Amino acid sequence: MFFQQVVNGLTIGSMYALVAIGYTMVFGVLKLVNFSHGSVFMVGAYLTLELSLALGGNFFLAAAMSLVLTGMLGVVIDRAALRRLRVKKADRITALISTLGVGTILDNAVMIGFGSETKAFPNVLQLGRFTIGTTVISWVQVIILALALVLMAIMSVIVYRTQMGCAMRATSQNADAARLMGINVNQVIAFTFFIGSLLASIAGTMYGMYYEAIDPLMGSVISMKTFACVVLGGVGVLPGAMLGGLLIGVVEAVGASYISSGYRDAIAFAILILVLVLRPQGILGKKVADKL
Amino acid sequence: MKKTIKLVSVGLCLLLGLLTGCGGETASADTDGGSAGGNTSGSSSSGSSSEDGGDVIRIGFFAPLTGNSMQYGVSFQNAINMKVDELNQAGGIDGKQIEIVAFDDKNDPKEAVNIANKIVADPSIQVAIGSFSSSCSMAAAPVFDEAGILHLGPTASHPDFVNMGDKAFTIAMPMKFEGAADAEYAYKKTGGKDMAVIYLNSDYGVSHSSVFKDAYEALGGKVVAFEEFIPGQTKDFTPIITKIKQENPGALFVIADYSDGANIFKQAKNLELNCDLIGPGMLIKDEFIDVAGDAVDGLLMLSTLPIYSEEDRENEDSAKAAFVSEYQDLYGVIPDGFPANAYDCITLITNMISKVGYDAEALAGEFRQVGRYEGVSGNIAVDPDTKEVKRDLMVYTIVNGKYAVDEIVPST
Amino acid sequence: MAFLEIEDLHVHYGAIHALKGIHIQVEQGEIVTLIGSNGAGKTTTMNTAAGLLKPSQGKIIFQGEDITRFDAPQVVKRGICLSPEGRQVFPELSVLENLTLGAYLRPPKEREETIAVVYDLFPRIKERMHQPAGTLSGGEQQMLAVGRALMGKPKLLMLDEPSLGLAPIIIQEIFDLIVRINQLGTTILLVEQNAKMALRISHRGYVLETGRIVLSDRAEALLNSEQVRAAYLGG
Repeated sequence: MFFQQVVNGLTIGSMYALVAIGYTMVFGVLKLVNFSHGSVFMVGAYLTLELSLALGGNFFLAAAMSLVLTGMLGVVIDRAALRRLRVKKADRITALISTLGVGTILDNAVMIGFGSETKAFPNVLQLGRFTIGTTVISWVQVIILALALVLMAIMSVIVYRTQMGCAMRATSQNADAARLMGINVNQVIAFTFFIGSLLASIAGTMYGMYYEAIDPLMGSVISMKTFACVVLGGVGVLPGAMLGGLLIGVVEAVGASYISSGYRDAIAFAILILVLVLRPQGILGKKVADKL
Repeated sequence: MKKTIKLVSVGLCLLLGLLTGCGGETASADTDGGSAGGNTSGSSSSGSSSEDGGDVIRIGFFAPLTGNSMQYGVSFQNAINMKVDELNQAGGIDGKQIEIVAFDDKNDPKEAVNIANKIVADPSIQVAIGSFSSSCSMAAAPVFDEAGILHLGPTASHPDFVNMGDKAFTIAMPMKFEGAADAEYAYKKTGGKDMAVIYLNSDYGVSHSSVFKDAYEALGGKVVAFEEFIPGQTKDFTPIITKIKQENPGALFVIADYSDGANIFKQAKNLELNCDLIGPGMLIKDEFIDVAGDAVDGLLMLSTLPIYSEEDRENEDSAKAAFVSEYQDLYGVIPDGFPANAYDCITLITNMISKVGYDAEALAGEFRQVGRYEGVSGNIAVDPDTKEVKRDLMVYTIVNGKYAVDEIVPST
Repeated sequence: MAFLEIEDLHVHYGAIHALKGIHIQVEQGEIVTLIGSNGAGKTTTMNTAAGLLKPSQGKIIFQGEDITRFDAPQVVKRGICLSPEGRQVFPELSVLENLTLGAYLRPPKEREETIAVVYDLFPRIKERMHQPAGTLSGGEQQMLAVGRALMGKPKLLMLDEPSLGLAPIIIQEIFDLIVRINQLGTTILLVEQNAKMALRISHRGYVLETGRIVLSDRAEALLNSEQVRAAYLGG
């Protein structure tokens, strides 16, 4: 049973990782916890579903459109809810509350627009399962894990090997100094939101395909937990988001089976607290000296 | 200038917040001026009179109208409004129009208590119908009991509910009977196989599962796994399912709503857990079949509430058919057991009001004497002493993508 | 019209009136110093000229163009680069990455040549090319900050308190380098608390006190003035 639980946990964790990667990008660049990220993830899934129905079943086109539309949603959120706060040099906490508000609006808008019922989600990857010993693994699980790794690698390349990526890192370390370099910080931020939301859309579509169902609250359910994954792995560190996600997923699965299923979240969060007490910057995080 | 604008907008926001916070909408025949029902100041603004014997009969109603249980609350409201509009158009009760003072409790027990306080502060309301979940109904019950209001919980199946006040009523079978009936049926049907139970952590889930377990074991069966989950916490039940699989159960009883239930059955299938599948009536929704697909072939759903289909419109004579057609014509969907239940609630209450008048004490007395009532939601038997309700148990399966009655087990 | 003309500049932080109508001129090829005590408004002046702050009144004119309403990237494009107060290097980026970012708006082919010039001026940071900037010493970070600003090939280089927190020997080194940069053709606007050293290398200077220019003269004259000596050069 243990091995099966690890597989279960890695799957749960890969889902978290997919969402956490987008979360950590925005957090990394803006030092902002974007609490609307979970809701954007949910919107991405809904867009894929509804477009797929509207396009008469053309799933891949729908998923592709959802990517772009959700990415744009991220840009709109930044523009509408956050940019003005930056201009006015508002407290970080104000921006945080603003994202909470956006998340609530998105959740309720989808509920009102599409109903609060759970909806069936098409699974175009009917690839079946295979067994190793007594452990059952479905191919979709393998794909999701692989996808998370691939996306993480792509994001790392963007952040560490491109001009825009360098500008993103500069902005995250010192936005004013970045401006002095001639970097259009607003554009960098908009790009970050675009990418982060695009990732959320991918995560949403994969989530929908795997569980074959979506509902308007799936985002807020996962939001807190993936935030915990980000913090656990090290904020702003892409491999950290991945590691944090997988770790919490496995802890949850193993904890639920060997300790108590009712307390699964509590166990996961307990581990998070333990790690943070011992290593506040997260597992892969760097100790950042406070800038003046 | 900027400061004044800020002050004014803050003031406006506060004002709006107050107004929207004050209770919900009034539905159906709104006779006197549009007072937004539910002002805490007892007598609502101009128009509707608040003394007994006024020309409006105001009945309180609360249920989740927004949030993730909104589909249930809204269906309750639809059924109630349908009946009330029908009565009002025929002249009301003794010439008095009926007004439903509705509130949205968002399936939050704290909100239910707030609403209960608002309702009892209004002396014209003698009856309150609500809520959907046992948690909310039970949270509000003490408030109604202290004020002497008749509280009718359409789906309050928790065994303690009717004991929370001598005017606390329900037409739902309490869990202690339903759970026992489920266990008896499950034991008979599976031949006493080892049973695994997965249940949601709510008042309903906890009471249903523990009654079921005790009854199943009393019959000589073994419950080899008993796992709870917190609803809304996750969609991934694979850890629990894997744990259960270890115990090699012959049957699995899942107490969850249709959304979590569908996920559980699907994931059980993916993990190749093969055994008999049983679930409660809570699972029965169209979306359940959509989402669960073939993972629920052979699933038996035990319900004390019926479900309807197009065919049920046909039978000209029955009140059931009239209910189904009227509801579908008005709201565009076929009703299920939940609005049917709410419909029976409002029908019973309004029948009693025309018999003994609009007074909580008198109505409570009348309710105890109901005896056996044939409602659109099934046969209801009310015990005059305990107020406990017994109903027939209906066993549903899924045939060709639709629900079908497999068996009906009458109440003893 | 001077190379850089700051006219009647007023800057507010909310209700605080930080700059109360200052006039500053810089001619091409000069080194001009702005001295004053803490809180006088020196950094506010620099940040406003650089486009990080918006003035509430007044004008900034560079090479005849009104750049008052420009934001930082636009100012950089026009050829003004600032090495800000406190150095403000990107701590987790390497020295090389910091320098490369300085040339963000410049054509990429130019980069190699400009970096060579900067390394030539500051050999110490060349040694640390791949180290994270945050691990450099104060003096090295200052050199990096100046070098980074130079990567933008500015026509006007602005330096905000380059001596802050540095040992006297390093300060001397840095000021020598500033002179060299000026000799290579860059106009320099310098803001300094270390009035003596700054005025020694400058052509002209301004004295700023609580948001106003109280003195403006040739650097030598300021160095010899009783007023300035008493307030800023003593000890």
